[in-house]
Amino acid sequence: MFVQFAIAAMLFSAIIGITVWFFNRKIVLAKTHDQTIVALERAISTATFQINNRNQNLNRYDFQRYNLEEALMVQPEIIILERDRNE
Amino acid sequence: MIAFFGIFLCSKMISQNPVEIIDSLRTNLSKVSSVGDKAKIYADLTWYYSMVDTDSAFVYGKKSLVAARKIGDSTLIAQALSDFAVVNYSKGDLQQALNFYKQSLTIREKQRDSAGIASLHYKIGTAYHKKTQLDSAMIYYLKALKFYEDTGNEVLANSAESNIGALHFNQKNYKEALRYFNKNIDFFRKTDQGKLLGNALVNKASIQLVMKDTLSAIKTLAESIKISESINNVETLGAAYNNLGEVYMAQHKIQQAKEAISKSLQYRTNSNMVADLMSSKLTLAGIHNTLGEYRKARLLLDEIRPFYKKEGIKEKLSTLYLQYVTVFASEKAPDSALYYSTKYALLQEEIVGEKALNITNELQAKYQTEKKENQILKQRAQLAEKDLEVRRKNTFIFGSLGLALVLGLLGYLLYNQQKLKNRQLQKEAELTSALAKIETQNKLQEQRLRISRDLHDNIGAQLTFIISSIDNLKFGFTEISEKLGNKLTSISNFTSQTIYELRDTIWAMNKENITFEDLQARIANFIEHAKNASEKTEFSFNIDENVDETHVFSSVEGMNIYRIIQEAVNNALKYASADEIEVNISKEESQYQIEIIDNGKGYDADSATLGNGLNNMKKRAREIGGNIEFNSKINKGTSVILNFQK
Repeated sequence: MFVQFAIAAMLFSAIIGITVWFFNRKIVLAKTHDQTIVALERAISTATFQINNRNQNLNRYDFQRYNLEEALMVQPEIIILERDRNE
Repeated sequence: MIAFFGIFLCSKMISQNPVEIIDSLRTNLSKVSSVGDKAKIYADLTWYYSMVDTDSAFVYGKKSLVAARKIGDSTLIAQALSDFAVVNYSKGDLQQALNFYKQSLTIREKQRDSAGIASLHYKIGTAYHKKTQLDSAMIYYLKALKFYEDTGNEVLANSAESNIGALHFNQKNYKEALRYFNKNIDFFRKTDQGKLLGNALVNKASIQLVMKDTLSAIKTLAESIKISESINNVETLGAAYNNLGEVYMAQHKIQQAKEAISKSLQYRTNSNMVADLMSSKLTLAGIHNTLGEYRKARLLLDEIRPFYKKEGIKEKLSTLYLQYVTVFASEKAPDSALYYSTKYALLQEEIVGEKALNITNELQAKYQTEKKENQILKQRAQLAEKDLEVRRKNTFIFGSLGLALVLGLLGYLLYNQQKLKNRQLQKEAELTSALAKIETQNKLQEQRLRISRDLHDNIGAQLTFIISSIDNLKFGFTEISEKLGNKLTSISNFTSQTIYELRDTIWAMNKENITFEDLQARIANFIEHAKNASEKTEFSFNIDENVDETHVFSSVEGMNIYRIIQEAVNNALKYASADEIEVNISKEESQYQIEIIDNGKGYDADSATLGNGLNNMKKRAREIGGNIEFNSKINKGTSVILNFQK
């Protein structure tokens, strides 16, 4: 009887422990994922904005005034090439 | 030695004198007339007479029975039977007493009179006890005891236990008997039950005697006698003195024993307890024999022999026969002595045989019991083993199921977690891919733009320098020829044109496409400017309904279309002096058509050679995969028709 009770107690504890661990892990994963998604979406949004910005500037080119310097606006915040770590 | 039975016949403890009660009852009897009332009085008379005169008790007992049966009252009949049985018991007719007790018991069992049944169990037990049928006596005592214990009647329960103790004494279980008697003594002392205390003390003395503690036995009996004398308990006094006599016999104080037994006889004669009386007489006969008073012994033996023969109490008969042997031996009657000696031997054999049989039966029963107990133990052990095996299996199954459950849960949770991770990774991968795409696009566009910018800044600056240098040359050298001047102007113009084209090219390189809407707006804007520049000229810009306004051109296409229209309109303004200029855009099947029509001077298209402007337009038309027609007649205006694929 005692043995069965002990086994039952152990099993119950194991079930509770596993459930709690997985629940916590799920929360952590969701949090990490959300952070990643937010970062990715932010990056996409930035890139989209920059592309739109570029297009808007290009649209300012007047076929009669040939105002290219107004149309070609560099966005210095865009980093084209990243240095290798070994350099 | 005679063991005293702690007999308490019924709950009717007498405090009054029975003779007085009898007189009162007889007076009442003469006054009543109904059979029922008479039956009750007869029953009472039977009971009280049984204490003083068994013959009268017998008579009234019979009358009570007849009257009760006459009125058919089962309660009265049961009571009458019980009282009559008591009378028979007192007379020493134990078998008859048992018969009447059992008849009464049958009626009371039908009536479910629990108290009455318990009382009869007790009395039947005492009757069996007196007949030395100890097993039957124990059964009935235990039944009575259970009832008294269940109903909390401590006095009667202790009384029953006292008799059970006496039974143990008879069976030589002295330790058990002493335990019961000591318990009784404590209880009866506490509850001040004088009669019962006296009885219990007599019982205890019997055990002390058996254990050869004669001094303690005498002391105990003295206490019992003192208590019994104080309450005139004749029965107990008879028993106490009888047992005292036996103690003195054990101490070989024969004279003192004789006195004690004689006293016992006196009390017992007055108490109407025939069996007890006979028992004392038998003891006295033995004393007489010991003292050599053979005649006295013979008289007593002759008196008591019929009683014991009738009752068949073998132990007493055996003692009787032995005493006869002594008597006849003293009378020098060898035949009689031999006769009784033989009878004694035979009876002893019977008793021994019975005892041996009893012992054998007991042993056999014990053996069977032990055998059965062993079997039971074995079975229990087997059951316990099986139970343990089952428990082990259950534990194993339970544990396995539990483990399976845990593993299942773990698997399920892991699967879910992995699924979630996969979904998350998939989404992240999608976004990462989209980000990589858009970042690549962004970076490429930016890189291109920066290159374009650099290109424009460098080359544009150089070209501008060239123009500026040429202009300086023209203005610097005043004496240059007209031809050279024109040439320099041409080079300057060409360089300017180059700058413009460079800018267009750079723009188109960076701008991937242009919507029809945007192109339309630019063309409209140009036309507006042209209108402002040439107020006399009427401009119209028409776009066919068929034209898909959502169509997207590449920037090169859009640029070239615009430049063609621009060149054509400029030409119409500059060279044709047109009043009306139309720009029409339409769609035919899979082709777009743009017409620039003016009503200017026109030119001979057949003979004229195409200038730079027109060649440029042709070149642009080729670049967009289209073709261009120039239709003109002198004074008939000019139309420039551009066709290109959708």
